[in-house]
Amino acid sequence: MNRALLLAALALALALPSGAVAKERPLALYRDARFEILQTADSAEVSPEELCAELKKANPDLGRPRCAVAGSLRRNVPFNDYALWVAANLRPGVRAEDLEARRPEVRKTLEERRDDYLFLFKSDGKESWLVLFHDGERIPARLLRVRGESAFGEVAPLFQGPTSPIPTEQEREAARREPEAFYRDQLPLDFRLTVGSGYIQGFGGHESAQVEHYTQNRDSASAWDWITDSSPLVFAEYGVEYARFLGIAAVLQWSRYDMKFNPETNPAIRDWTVDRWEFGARARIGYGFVPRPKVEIHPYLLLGFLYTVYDAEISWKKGVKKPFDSPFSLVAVSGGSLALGADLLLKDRYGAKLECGLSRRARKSRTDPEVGPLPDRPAEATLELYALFGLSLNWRRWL
Amino acid sequence: MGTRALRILLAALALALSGCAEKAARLHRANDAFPDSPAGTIAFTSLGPGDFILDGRDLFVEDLKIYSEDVHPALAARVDSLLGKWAEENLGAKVRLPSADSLGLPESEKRRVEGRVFVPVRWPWPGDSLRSGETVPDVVLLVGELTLGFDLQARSLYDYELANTYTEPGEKPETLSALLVWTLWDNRLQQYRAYGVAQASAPLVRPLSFGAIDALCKRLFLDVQRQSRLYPEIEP
Repeated sequence: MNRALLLAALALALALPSGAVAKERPLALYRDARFEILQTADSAEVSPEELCAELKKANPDLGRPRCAVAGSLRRNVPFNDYALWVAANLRPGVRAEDLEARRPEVRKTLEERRDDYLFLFKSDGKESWLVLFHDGERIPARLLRVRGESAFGEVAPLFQGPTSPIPTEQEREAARREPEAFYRDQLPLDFRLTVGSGYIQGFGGHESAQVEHYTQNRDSASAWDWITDSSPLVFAEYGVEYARFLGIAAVLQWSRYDMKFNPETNPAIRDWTVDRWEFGARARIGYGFVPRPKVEIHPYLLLGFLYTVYDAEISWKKGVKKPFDSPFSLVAVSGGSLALGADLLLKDRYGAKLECGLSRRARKSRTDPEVGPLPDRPAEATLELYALFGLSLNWRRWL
Repeated sequence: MGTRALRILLAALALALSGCAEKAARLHRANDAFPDSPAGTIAFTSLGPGDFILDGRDLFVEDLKIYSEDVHPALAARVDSLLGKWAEENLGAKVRLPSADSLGLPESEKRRVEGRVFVPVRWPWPGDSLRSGETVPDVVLLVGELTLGFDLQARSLYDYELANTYTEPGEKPETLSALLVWTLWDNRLQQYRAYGVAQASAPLVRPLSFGAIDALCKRLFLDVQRQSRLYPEIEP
């Protein structure tokens, strides 16, 4: 059920950008900016000193705000007409778009005052309004209506957050010409360290197979006749991915299996386990989806090479004669894997990986069969399905 | 993964798809700041020759037996007088204002009605009240462009996705139709109360008669009345 919820949440997260709701643009907060209060016949009394004190209290990052009554705007006849018109039109139900400045002269004035914050407060005793113009916009950046005698209390919440210095003309121009982040930074090189765990399920072994007398096994073609055919695994992977497209990685993984031995014919053995260490190199080809800024999904197809080492470990029973000192030393085989997976990457830094694959290991031929009193080494061929989940850290370089 | 999970996934998918699906946009917008019906003096502007657009002129010329160069002014004057009569009789509009051109209203602006539907309107500047002599009407019906023609669809003219697409003209026009962009203007606050585009059409009967045009215009004005919620008891 949890998995289902997770999947649904993922589907929703992917779906939301398409049905996105129009959101208010965030208000750019400038340090040492100028705040002016437009006064009309029916506007509420707010003094510049009061406003500045409130702003400083709300956000010390605003630096030294300068507050004033917008006297020059009051002498600007078209703009004053516009301010009067806005004040008269503040009625329940009015939208900010319907208060658009339509006159070219008024638009020009607003553009000239783009760095300033122009406030209009109005109150009729029961309802109060706050209108804020900023960034040269033709429509009010904020239009707030509150019950009560004054909307002055709404000022402080608007000015929370990080501030920046007022941009110069060159900075504005540079920002305007700057391409979108995704297109500007076309070719990322990602170095990624992933650590995680997973599960292996082998195929092709016989359920009833057992190791008799340390050496003999009815069917030794598959390693799953010697060892249990499923195990959790732990892995660590470090790799580099170019342009969200091609990647290579080195992987180390470890899993542990119980030997399927017959305790009656192996009386000296209490416990017999095999560690499987694998060193691998893998190459992947994939695609980078960017469903929303700072969220990337990289599905991929992977081909891996594995070098596998089995190391057996026995704990003996006390007082029973050991038939041999060590069952077998390191046995090495090689193999390959084919897998499909996806990396999720957040903010270019944090990630998660999900991968499912098929791998097979075998030695080409047994040219040196070991004979004698020591146990034969286990059979080597394995065929298995595996699934991995890992968390990763990513370091991105731009090429 | 159970069927429940599948259902949740399907629901999420449906949600995603419905976000992309087109919503049927209305052809008029009412201002929520003016919930009440207009009261006080109602005025209306005349339809200037520049506001009247005739589509498929040849057919009018052929059927109405008017000279080609006379058909536009003749029909514009006729529709304007119909408009005046309707406004006086049905809206109780006593004050007749000149056309937008004569009033010197600002150039037309595109205003969004809903979705992708934008209509050209000519609204007075904020702060400028329209007046006729001494009278300052409370509400003015601003008449915008009126299009008379055949097989017209408001959406294919004013929906910006459809407006510039070329469609093969049919063999024969099937309907006589008319569109009118209108605004109900609050002259006191210089703000719209409602605006939109009204449409009316009737099966085309050849030869075309002035009577058919008059009847169509009447239905067009009733659509304005319906959209603007002016006297809603009058059913078109």
